[in-house]
Amino acid sequence: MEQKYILLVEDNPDDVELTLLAFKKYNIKNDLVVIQNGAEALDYLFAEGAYAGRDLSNMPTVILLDLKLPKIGGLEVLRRIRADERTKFLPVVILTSSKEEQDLINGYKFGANSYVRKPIDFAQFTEAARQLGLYWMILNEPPPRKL
Amino acid sequence: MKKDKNTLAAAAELRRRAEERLRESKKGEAARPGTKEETQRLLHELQVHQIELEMQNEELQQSRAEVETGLAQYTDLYTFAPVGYFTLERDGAISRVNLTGASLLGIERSRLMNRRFGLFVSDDFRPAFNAFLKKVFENQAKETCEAALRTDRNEPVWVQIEAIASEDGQGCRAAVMDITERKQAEEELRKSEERFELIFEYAPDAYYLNDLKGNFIDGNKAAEKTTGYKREELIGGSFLKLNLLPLNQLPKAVKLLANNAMGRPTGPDEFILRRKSGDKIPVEISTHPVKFGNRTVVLGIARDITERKRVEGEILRLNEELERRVKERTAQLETLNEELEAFSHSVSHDLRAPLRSISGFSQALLENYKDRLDEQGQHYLERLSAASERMAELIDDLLLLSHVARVELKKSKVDLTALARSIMQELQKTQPERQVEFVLAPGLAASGDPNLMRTLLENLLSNAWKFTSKKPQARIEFGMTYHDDKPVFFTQDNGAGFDMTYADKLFKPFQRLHSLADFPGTGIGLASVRRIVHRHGGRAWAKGKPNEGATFYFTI
Repeated sequence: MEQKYILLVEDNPDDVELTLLAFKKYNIKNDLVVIQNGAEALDYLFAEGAYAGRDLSNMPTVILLDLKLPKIGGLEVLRRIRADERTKFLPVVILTSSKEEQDLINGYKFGANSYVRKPIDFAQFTEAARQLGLYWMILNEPPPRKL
Repeated sequence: MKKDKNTLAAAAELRRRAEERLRESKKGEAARPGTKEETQRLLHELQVHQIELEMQNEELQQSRAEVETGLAQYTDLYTFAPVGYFTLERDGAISRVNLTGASLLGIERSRLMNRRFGLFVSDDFRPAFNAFLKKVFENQAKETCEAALRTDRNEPVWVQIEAIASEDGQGCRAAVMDITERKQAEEELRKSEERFELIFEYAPDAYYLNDLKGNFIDGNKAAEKTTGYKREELIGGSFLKLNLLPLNQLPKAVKLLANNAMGRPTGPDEFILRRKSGDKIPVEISTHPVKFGNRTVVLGIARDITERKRVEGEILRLNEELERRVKERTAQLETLNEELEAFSHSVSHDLRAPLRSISGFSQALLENYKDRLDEQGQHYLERLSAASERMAELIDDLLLLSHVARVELKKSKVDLTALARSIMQELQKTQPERQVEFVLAPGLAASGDPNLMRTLLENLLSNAWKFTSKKPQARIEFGMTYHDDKPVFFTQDNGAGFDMTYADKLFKPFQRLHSLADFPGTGIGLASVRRIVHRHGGRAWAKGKPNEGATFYFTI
């Protein structure tokens, strides 16, 4: 059975843990795959490298993508997702601490579906996580698997 | 009348003398007329004779008058002639002189008699004059000489003397003409020619004359110096014959000659000149065809521009150097800017992450481990949270300040009144319970960057909003006034105000005049205001009094 899950691409273990905490608070803890750098995220999505043999039909419902990632940056990951037939319709939410205008522009230019700034305040942070989970996991109608 | 009287008197005298002569002749004569017929005939004879005599007398009188008139005319002509006439003895003594002659010598006519003419000739010319005089008497032909006369005046009187000996060889007649003016003109001409000669000779540029085939006719000292050839070597030679031009210069030279042949001036054109020593120097040549009578020659001016070329080269080199430095500096600035950009990005991104962890985990502790923490422990965690919140604010404001300084200005006309109204409405929404009187001048506008204008007014108005929070009757005004005939915008409030002693600290980043507990803030807002105003070429300043409010002025 195909399961709805979130792919979280985030290298900061604190942020990963806080996100898990927030999702746990709203009972979405089981649906999270965490990957810590851009290169690995691409391997995961295209079933290459360490993830060779992964079932390509099992794509995440939404990708939460940090911009500042080691090896391959978030924007580059986004570009490659959009460039590939298999992933170009995947919803991608950029989740970052940056409020720099240029980051915003680039994020949307490369085809991000949403851009969310990580709030410092934990209450706001969990609220953001809750809304993201609610919207993307429940309200949003994902693109059909086969187009 | 007088003449008639004279004539009558002369006739009477004649008659008296005639009768006397008749009486004397009668003494020896006894002959008397014999007959009446004889007497009649004699009487007739006498009467005829008398008429003849009268007629003769008339004729004589007339010719005498004519002679007198002629004499007067000639005397007049001689005396007043515009030329000096002298009659000189063999030894040069003056025997006759007319008025012009006397005035030429500057001495009265009567006092000139028997004085030698030579005495009036200036010392320099005396021997020549004596020789001239000698020649006049020897040759019996007209001789001419020029001499300067001695006079009392400062300027010499120049004369031309033409003289011829009289037929008996005992004297000579000399016509003396004043030629001072002609001499002066000649002298002027000679001096001016000398001056031109000097100018030509010592001109700092090489001056040369050549015929239409390019053969040199003359050259000055600078021409010798420039080419390395002596004048004698230059004359008769040409640029071509003396091998003065390298091969690649010849087409230009041919063109120059062709232009000259058609009477056209050329230049200044740059040429490379090969000197006698073989050295090559850059020169600038201008030529001007000049007509001398029916012959055309060309005046050429060749300027040695070695020094100028060197300086031009130097300037070029300096410019390149300057350009290189500007490029370097620009590159450095670009690098710095990029670094700054990266820095702010890093501040924005990386500094926030640990804050999020601090805040997040304190919150998690508070939420999930509340039962294991006493009140004090919970208080510490709350302080931790608040501190990270505040640091996040500081980071955001710092980024804003750096953004304000770096962002590209896009100016347009901004409706400040509408902007202020919308900002005040937003502020009211944050604290709907507050009662604030807002006074807004209509129709205020300025040319500026709309985003920065919004940041500017947001900062000023939210300050006013913040610092009036403790006033029950808060009043905030946005308006315009004039300082030195220039429009000045201002925001005014009746809030906490400030002590003017610290007015200069207000606009500096992180400087605060109030405690955090009284009025929260980062101390960045007014620093941003000043930067925005400066970037628009304006000025910002403030006036205030503790507890009575503050006014912030700015020009755009």
